Amino acid sequence: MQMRRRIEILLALVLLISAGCRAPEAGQPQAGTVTLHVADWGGASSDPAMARFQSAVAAEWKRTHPRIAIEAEHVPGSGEYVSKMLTAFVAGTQPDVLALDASSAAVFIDNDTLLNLMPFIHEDKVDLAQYYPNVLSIAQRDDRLYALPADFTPMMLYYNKRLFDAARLPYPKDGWTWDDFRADCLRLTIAPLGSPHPTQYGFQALNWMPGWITWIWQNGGDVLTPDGNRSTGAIDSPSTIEALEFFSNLVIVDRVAPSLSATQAEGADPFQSGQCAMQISGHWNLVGLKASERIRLEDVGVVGLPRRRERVTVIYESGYAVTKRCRHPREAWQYVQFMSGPFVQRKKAELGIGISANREIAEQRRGSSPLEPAFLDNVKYGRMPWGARVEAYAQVEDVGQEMMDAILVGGESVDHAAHAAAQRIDPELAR
Amino acid sequence: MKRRSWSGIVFVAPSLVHLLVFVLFPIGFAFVLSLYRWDVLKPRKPFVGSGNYEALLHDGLFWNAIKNSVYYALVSVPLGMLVALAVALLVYQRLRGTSVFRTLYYLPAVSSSVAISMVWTFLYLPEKGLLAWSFSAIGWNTAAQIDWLQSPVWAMPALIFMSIWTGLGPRMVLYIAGLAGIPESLYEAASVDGAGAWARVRFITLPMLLPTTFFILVTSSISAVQVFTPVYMMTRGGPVRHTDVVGYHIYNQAWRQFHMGMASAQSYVLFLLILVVTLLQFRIVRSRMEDYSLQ
Repeated sequence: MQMRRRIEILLALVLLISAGCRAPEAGQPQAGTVTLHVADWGGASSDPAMARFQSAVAAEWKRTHPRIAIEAEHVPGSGEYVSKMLTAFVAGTQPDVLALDASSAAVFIDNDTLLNLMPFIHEDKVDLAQYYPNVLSIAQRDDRLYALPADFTPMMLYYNKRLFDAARLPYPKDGWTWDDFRADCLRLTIAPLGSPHPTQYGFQALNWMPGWITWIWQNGGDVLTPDGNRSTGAIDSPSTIEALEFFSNLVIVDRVAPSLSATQAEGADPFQSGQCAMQISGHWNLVGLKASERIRLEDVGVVGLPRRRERVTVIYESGYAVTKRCRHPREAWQYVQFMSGPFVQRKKAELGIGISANREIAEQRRGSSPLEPAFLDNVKYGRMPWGARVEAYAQVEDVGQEMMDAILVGGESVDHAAHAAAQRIDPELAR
Repeated sequence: MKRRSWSGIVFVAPSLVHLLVFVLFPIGFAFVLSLYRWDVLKPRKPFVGSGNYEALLHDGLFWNAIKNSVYYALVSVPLGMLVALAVALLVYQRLRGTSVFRTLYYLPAVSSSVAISMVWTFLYLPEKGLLAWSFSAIGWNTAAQIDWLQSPVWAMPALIFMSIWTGLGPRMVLYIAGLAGIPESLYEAASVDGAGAWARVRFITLPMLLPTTFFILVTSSISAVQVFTPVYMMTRGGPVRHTDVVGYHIYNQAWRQFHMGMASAQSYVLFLLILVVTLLQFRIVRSRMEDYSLQ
């Protein structure tokens, strides 16, 4: 009796456990069907336009590729995306296709986790000239290509036309200079009579390195040496220090820009509320501006970043890559082509998140809004982020962020902070 | 007897398995990791023995994080407990409406700490935040200009202030339970002996609450040293590492820099730290409890 009871309990237990372990069988695919696991970030969003886009893409894929099922995993937040993917690689549960962010592309490419797509490209005679060359090169290493680019954006300067009108200032024009920019900032910073605290600022100085790196480049400086192996000699060079001084002086000396941390800016957005007349951001910013009730899109202008020694901006991009141990590389390649192809790219461009890396599709959007031409005309000044080339760039950005904090709120001199940063970055790169 | 214990094991087996697989195994594995230079994607993961621990001794940034955590715990735990005790004493009064207040004070405990952190980020915003607005409304213009979360001096107090509010609910409930356990007769006897309100609190309530206080002290200290979410959401350890507490530091080491070996070593140092502090608390409080013969 006791014995039987025990066996019954055990059996129940075994059943319970095995039920939990069984592989999901929902939507049992038909024979001969291949399932691809696809990962991207930003994911299942509450934004209805994004949700519509995702279901339209899924439906079109199902229609054109009935025998390749897609199991998509949307990872929220691009910061967690990299760590989540890396863990998946270690555990052997990596996806077959993954969205590759230019800012962290080197992590995946340099660790040999991705498949070289060139054999497929030769075989299918894909014309790579259809892509913007500086965007395509993000995932290129010598004669290998690890991702087809999907969409991207150059960082641009947004300005509030109403505030320029009120100050009787002409709108900034492409090719303008740092001096023009600073003069505008001074004119657009307004404090009520008798108060030392402005109620309106010229610029929103976002304390976010992907946003302020361009000032350094525009002055001919950099944070790493050209080979990406060292920081000493770059971040502490005179031209970098001069650029850092220009940027930080907007906050500390001229007081024409409040400095906000990235998390703070998420909630406040002083540009939308008309508290700051200018900000630097990407194409994605238009999504928020369009939805905003605090600013009218007609009042927003976009122009290329002001120049100093060089006219340059940074481009942030996403592409699609096939992972190395993928069991169905051919099918995965088809999906990569689809995601970077005309159907998806046209649909995605309507969302306003970015510009298609496909030149023809991007140019077709030129007339879609009065702001679009400025973006397209600035693509040629776009330079890829260091994260596309240097694996440890996330750490470089952490140190860079701290350096800027030390300058903006810690009262440290630019010279001292930059040298200290170089001392900390070099060992990280040498690891 | 033997048979019965066997079926007992079967019943606890699911949670035992869970504990083994998801708690005990990771704890052990983390120790193994801490002996290696274990960078996630690098195929070479060399054994370094105590190398990570030795490197930690000279790692100024890690000790800065320990220092920040100690600061956070030393201020937030006693203050938080004091406020919770005061609130518990207030809502324990037999007055109308106290249950409403109990609920209100407990609300943060059932809210998502991510959402709470976001709301407090807005409250702390310079110029436009509620705090800045309140200060300027009463004419404290210097205070109104402080950028709480970006100031090296104020960022940590700002986090601590918030933690007192978020941690209030559970502590208050524990204190209320402690208060309910004090026999009414003690107070009556004291009143007969001529003890005033303060004397009753000082010589009856506080000593009788000692076991509760001790429990709250230990659990609050542990969770204070492990604080992560508000730091991650509100300051990212900044400005210039002034709020880089050890929980956040370890997270960065593991998930941003991918040095799992080093992160595991840091976790073990943190574990030792918590162990020592807890043992110390046990010793001190035990002797106090013996004084009051509450053992």
